[in-house]
Amino acid sequence: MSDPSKANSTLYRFLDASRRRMELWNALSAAGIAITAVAVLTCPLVARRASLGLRDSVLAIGITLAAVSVFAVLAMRRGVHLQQVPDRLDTGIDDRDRVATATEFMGDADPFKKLAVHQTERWIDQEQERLSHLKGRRWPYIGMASLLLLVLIWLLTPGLGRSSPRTDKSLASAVPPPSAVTQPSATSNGSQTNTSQSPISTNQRSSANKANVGTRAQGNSGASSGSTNTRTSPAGQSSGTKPGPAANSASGSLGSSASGRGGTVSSTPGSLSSGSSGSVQSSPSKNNGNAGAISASPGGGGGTGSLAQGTGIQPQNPVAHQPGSSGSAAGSGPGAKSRGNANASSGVNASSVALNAGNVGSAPNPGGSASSGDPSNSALKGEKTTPSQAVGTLQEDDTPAQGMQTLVPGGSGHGQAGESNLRIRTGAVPSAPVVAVDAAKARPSNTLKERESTGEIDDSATGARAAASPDIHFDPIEIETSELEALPPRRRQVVIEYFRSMNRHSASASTTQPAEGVSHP
Amino acid sequence: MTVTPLSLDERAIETQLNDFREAFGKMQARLQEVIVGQDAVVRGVLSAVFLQGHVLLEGVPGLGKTLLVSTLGDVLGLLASRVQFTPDLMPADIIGTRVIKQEAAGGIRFEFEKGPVFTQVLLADEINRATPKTQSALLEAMQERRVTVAGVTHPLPEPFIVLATQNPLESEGTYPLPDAQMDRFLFKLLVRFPTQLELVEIMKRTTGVPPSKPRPLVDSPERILVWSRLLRRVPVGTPILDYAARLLLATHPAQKEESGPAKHVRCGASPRGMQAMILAAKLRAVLAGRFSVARDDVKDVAKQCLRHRLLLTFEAEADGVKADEVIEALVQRIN
Repeated sequence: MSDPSKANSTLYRFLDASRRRMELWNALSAAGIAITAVAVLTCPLVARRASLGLRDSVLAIGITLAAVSVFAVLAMRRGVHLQQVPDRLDTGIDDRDRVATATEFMGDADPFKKLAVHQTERWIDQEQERLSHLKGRRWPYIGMASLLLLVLIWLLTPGLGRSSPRTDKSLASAVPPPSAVTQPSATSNGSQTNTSQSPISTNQRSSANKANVGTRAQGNSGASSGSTNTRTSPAGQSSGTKPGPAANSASGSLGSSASGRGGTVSSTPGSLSSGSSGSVQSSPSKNNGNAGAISASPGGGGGTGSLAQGTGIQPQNPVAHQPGSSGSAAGSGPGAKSRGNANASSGVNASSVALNAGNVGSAPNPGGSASSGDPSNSALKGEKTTPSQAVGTLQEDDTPAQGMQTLVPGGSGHGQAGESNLRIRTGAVPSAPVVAVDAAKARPSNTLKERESTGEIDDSATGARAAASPDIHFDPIEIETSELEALPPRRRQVVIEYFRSMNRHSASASTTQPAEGVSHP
Repeated sequence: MTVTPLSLDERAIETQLNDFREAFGKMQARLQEVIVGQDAVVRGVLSAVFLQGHVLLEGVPGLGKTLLVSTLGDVLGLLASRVQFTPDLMPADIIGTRVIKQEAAGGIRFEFEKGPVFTQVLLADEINRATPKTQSALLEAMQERRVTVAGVTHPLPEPFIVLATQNPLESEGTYPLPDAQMDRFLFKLLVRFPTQLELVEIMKRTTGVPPSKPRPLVDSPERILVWSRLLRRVPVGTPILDYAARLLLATHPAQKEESGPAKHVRCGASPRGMQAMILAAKLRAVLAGRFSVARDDVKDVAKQCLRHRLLLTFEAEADGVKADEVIEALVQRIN
């Protein structure tokens, strides 16, 4: 290009346009190469970042910087000169020779060469449509594939600052949100159901029975998330025959990993109920519930009102008698044979559903029929149910609790008792609003507002609940090593992560004070 | 006859090239009026004239080679001569010799008597029948376009081209041309035997009244030289030169592969073969209306430029492998 006047020639414009496209393509391919190289090289780091102690943020920034650096270097080194354009044209070899020759002659003063250039320009004008500007247009699919691989590895492997997505999901659904857990308490006469908040967890470990500390919400860990379906059973205020209508809609799946059978996972922080006397009886025993206390077992238990108000319940599990565990939420319904029918894996979903369903008072108790078992009840089937559906989930309540209203928060708990591999002893009961329910007014109400308007829910209690909702207190969780070791490695990892998360929650909430309006044991 | 000097102006060049194309077409047509068939031979011989090269014609006797040469001289307005090479032909019989001349004053002196080589179109008929010594006498004339006798150099007239013939069948009593001399030929053209239709046409033309001598189509030999220089100015791009070089290198046994076509080659083509290909490609490009050489031009002239420069192995000759087959395979192989 010794002749500047050639800059406006057809050949020069053609070459320049082709060069620009090639440079753009080079940049794209450089990006592909950079992504590919960095992705491939960093895959091991990403996969083992947790064990290597690499924080996600640091690793992400490092990968990004590396990719950008490689891209910059490649993009700078892959510039296209004008003389290189003909070799990359997507045309026949003769056409390439023609353009290359003209490019070589461009700017030469020899009239013969000028004639050759002019002839080539005329040819370019004629063949403009046919000529392509790039030799190859293979997109860097390998770069995209590598990036996808890196993202997948990132998502599927646990990081230092977080657990794997599946574990996160389990945690998110298993940990009861502060506002979702209600610790109901019912009066024996059924006239009133006191769902007292019990932010405290009384499940201190009993030395006598370590295995049964607190409420054993059998089955579903998920239930613990506890939707607080505080509902009154009109008919059953004193009957106790309606064990835990509430609630538990979702029998759910616990974390994928813990699919569990056999285990009694009770992620439920609280076996304890609020209420005056209620000890939580989450044990599968049938006896619960004479007393009419409600058990809202956030822990998943499908809790029927195993709880007796006051002393109404004779918990079989001595540990369950924790002081102050009034009002009790039994992890599992009294004698509900069906409880725990969900495997552990379903517990997660259960909890999540329970969360949805867990608005206090939002779920009506359809005539208190929640009791024994409507087999068709979705809650027992591990289905998601709306709050209104989450009623009366328990079946075969052999020993119907009388005079109690079940407020079964949190997930249904059906996880077949004893079928989950996991067993958590949690003593903490999430704070729950105090809901005073007048038996006379007790009726199914669909909404909180409606129930408030009817006096079914005490405003003050609602306020207290709101105030106290952030105050969650979990006791440290213990895991039985033998059961844990029996799990497959992947499940074990998930459970460990889950328990760690629970412990972190407990630690963080240990200093919180119960809110006003919350009953304490 | 005034020769218009070439102008550097593009239009002038374009005009000259157009004139050349037109003249070339007319000359070829005129030759083909006399020579039945043999289009490739006619075109090749005519091309060699404008490229200032020599042509080796290989064919059996009686195919019109001598007629071609004489007609070519007539059409181009050039001097043409013919030498029948025999084993007893001496170099002096070709290039000339010094003879004693009686002067009018009574004295004597040596005077150089020019041989038949002092012409513009020389037909060396059956050149392989002459001894190597005689053949080598022609060597200097072909390459240097001059002859030296008794220490005196005598330039040959321009243009000077040698059209040599040899019979591919007769090998007894012949002296195959040395490689160095073979390399002097720009082209080796194969004069094929005429087809039946061509034979019929030959009979019609040669058994009747002899045709009149054609008029020259070129006003002067200088015109041929001008066109020849014009053709040499045709530019060749580097990719084409690279291709020609790769093609030439592919003919060498050092480049051969186990299954490559060069395995039949004992000795590859010399750089003269590459020069010949480029020159011939330039002429072909001009005739095709292009101002620069394309790869196809080189491919098209590769056989006629390289076939006599390849020395095939004994195995290849025993197997009947022809040089053209090797070149064709190389052309297909090299991109």
